[in-house]
This record gives sequence, C-alpha cells and structure tokens, in this order.
Amino acid sequence: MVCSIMQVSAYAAMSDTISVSFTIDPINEINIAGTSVTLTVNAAVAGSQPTQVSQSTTYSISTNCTANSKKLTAVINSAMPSGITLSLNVTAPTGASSTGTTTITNVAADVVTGIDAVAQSDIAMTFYLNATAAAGVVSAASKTLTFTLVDA
Amino acid sequence: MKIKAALIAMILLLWLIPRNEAFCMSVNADGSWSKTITTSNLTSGAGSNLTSTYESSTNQANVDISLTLGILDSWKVNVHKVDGTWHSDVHLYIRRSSDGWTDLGLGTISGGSSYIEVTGVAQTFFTGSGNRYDADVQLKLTGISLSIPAGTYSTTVYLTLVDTF
Repeated sequence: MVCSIMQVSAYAAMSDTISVSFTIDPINEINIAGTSVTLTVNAAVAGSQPTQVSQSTTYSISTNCTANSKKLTAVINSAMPSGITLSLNVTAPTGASSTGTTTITNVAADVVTGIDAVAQSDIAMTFYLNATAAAGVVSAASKTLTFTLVDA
Repeated sequence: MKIKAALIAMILLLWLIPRNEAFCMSVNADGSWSKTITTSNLTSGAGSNLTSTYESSTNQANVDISLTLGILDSWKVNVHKVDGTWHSDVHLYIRRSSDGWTDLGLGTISGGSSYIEVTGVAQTFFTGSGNRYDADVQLKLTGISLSIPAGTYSTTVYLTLVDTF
C-alpha cells in the first residue's frame, strides 16, 4: 500500500508559478502656479503705442508620454477686445521646444511642442498684454486661459 | 497484532527517514499580484515623478511543500522569472513573509525572509525539510518612473522545488 502511494506521488509538481503584472496608466498632468494673472496697460511713451506689460508665473508638468508625442496648447474663452493682444511665452520642459512668444486667442495655439516623458516643476511662463492707441479705454475684463497637454 | 505494529513502525520510519527519491515532493504556489499605477501615484502632483517602489501585501501568495518523505527530507525552493512584456528599469523582488505551518509542528524552514531580486537566473529562495504549508510570500517592484511608457507589463515567477536529500 505504501509503495502504491509513493508511485502516485512520483508525478507531483516540482515547480509552480506566481503571475506578476503592473499597469501604468497614461499620466498627463500640468498645473499653473497661482490662479490669476493681472495685466494693466496704463502707460505710454509719447509718440509710441502704449507700453507692453508682462507678468510671469510658472507651471509644472508630469507625463509618461512617448518621445515627441505631446504638445501644450493655450486658448482663452473668448476673443480679446479689438486692439488688445494677449501673448504668452512658455519655456519648454527638458526635451521639448517652445514656440516662443505666441498670440493667444479663442482658438487653441501651440505654445510647446515635442514633449517627451518628463517630470519638471517651476517652469517659467510669461504673459504679455499689448494695446494699440486705437483700442481706446477698455474696461477691465477677465479671460480664462486653458493650458492643455494634448497629442502632438 | 505484531504485524499491525510492524506496519505502523514501517510507516513511521518512512515518514521520518528521508530517502533519495527526488520525485516525491510537490510545490504549490497560490496567488498572483497585479498593480495599477495611476496619476495618484505621483509623489506630489504635477511636476513630480511616480513613486518608485511598490510592495504587495505580506500574504500576496503562499507556498506549500508537500509529499516529502518526512521531517528529515530536505529541500530548497529556487526562484527565477520569465518575462512577458517587461521593462528593464523595473526590478522585481520576493521575500518569504511567514514560516507557514508543518505537520505536527516538525520540519524546518529558513532563508528568504529578506528581499532578493528575481532575475531570469534561478537562485535559492529558501530551504527547509518536511512538509510545509501556507508560507506567505511578499513581492516588491522598484524602478517605476515616468520614463516607463504607459502599458501593462508582466512576468511569471517560477518557484522550483529541489530535493536536497
């Protein structure tokens, strides 16, 4: 009887397995420091158009995208008044390219292209506001800027 | 009566004294580990990287060693992995997080209580003798970062029982 039990056990498993897997979701996070930027054009050099004003802030980005597969766009929720121009210069994170100072309208514009996987914080971005003399006196107004990390 | 006593003695002897039949033992591993890494795993939101190290629960899997020939029948468990889709930045570690239990509280188990990296090359995970049940296993992943493209990565960890007589 003992022998027969041992015969059966001769076919027992000598190895077994544990399956291990991990999934990394697409990660695309950006954040602009602060919640508002105020720009007021209120000076001019005699004989010239009103003086451009600017204000800087920073943004942070984390993405695990593949090389050159993402870009940053910027858009405001409605058109600027006639004679008033809002521009934005966004420093690119490592490995990407800035489009330089770019006019921002209610149609999305590229501000950074060729983004790779990156984790970088406190990257400079500067807003500029220009007005022509023809714009006249314009009441204070607010615009919402949407900064989006999208597929290139 | 004498025949019955002799039979019992023979069974006890077979149970207590190891023999050289390597083929009797069996290893059984239950459990698997699947980890999902999301935006919530960024160390401090936008601008930061992903947490690099993840540990499973201490009883993510458990291992049984059975059908040994007795408490003096020694063995070792080797470990290696065979990758499916894997990323070379990521390292997998394994440790034995409990001793489990044995028949009549006899038998031994040692080693493997500190993490060892699981590679494609078999190495000793832990050793022991006699039957062993529900020895818990914990796993750890290191090297996770945003440099690893989104996707699912998998590997199979092999626990191989070797009779060391």
